[in-house]
Amino acid sequence: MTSGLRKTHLIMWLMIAVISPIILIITIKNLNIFDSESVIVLSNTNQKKVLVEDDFFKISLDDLSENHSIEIIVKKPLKASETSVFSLNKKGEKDLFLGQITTTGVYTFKCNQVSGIAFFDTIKNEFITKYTF
Amino acid sequence: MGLDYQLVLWNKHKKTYDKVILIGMLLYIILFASITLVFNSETSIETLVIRAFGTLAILMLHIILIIGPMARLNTRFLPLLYNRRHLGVSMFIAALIHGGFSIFQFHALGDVNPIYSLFTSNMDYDSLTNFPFQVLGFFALLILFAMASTSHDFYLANLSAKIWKRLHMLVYIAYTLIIFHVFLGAFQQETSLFTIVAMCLGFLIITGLHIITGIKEVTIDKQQGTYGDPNWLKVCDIDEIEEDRAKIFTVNNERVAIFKYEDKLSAIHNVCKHQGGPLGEGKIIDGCITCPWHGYQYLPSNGQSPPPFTEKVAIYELKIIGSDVYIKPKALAEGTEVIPINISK
Repeated sequence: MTSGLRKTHLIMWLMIAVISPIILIITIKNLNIFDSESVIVLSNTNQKKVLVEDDFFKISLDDLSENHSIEIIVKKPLKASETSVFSLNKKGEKDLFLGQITTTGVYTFKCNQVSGIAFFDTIKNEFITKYTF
Repeated sequence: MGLDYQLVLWNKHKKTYDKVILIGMLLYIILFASITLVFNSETSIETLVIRAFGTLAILMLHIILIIGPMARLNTRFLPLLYNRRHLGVSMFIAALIHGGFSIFQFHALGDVNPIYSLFTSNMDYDSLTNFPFQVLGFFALLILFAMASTSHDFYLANLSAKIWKRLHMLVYIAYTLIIFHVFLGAFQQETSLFTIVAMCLGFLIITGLHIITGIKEVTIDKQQGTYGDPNWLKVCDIDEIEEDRAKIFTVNNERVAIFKYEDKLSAIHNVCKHQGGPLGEGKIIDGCITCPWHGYQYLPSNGQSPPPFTEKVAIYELKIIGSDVYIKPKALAEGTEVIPINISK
């Protein structure tokens, strides 16, 4: 390599070595991936009524505040690439579309009264799982 | 070194290396598929293909990026450098399969153009955590395509070694894009500790090796000779140069290789016209200075490749006083005939 190329080469690698870890550290700090435990603690203190908790989900109902809402914490990634959340009626059938979930994290949906929650794979057109309360 | 352009310049050694690459790729895919099916049997075939070829491409990219600095640190790695081009093209094919399947799986089944969908399905461009990581992979794939499609001596000769080398240094940008593509993808889809640790380790090894060799090169560049006469720079003692080998010196910020052969001395510019290889780290074979990277050859008396080849490098004048070797820092025009200095006289 010529002296110019050698210099460019070294400068590029020094920049990569410095900039990449900085961006990655900032990204990791902004992620909630390690925060699921703290979220659960917070939700308990907010007097939310926990309806279901298993390996994948924690579903809580907040019917004390003015905005009735249901909170879903997705603990593990789901295999379905397109997951919609529906409320279930008293017969256990799919009722209202509440919203979509993608990755792990906390999701809040507005709703008044629900008898259950269904997670539905909209691509395969099949239920992933249902919870009745 | 070939006179005519051929689609693939194969020889016995390259065929052996290519077989190793092919078998290695097949073994990796089989191993990845087997492990996935054992531990995650519900994985769809599309996901399996995407992940197997994606991880294979990343592994190959790491090997490719390690070969350069390793060859600078230890000459035993030079045969790998010789065949790096085929490894690069193979890596691009693996990356293309990963990218192609991903675009089909995630973007081709809707009612908009898949490429448009790639850029617009996630618009969180102002977010670090939800940044559309697939876009980063797409740009990396474009760079790899530009590199793979110009990985041929035709483009090398027509673009010039300098421009070609700068174009191929874009692989470092592609590598950075791929790091973020994998990290953000892993964070958003699945927090796999193994992926994160493996990528961090790979990053440390690659950047560490490149920076170590870069600093080593800067140190060599600083080793200047001493001026007695302003026109002549004293560089070394004759005995410091091995027979049929060279010693490299920095003269006017450029490296010069002084070769000793058949009781004679000749000095030429250290940079090979083919891919910028270090001629001074090669040796004299059949009376020609032979580049250690790809075997390009130059006559020591005029820096010109033996006919019918036309590559030329700059040449320098030398003189000997006692046992001291002196060089005239100003290079002569490429291909200028200079009578080699006779050591015994």
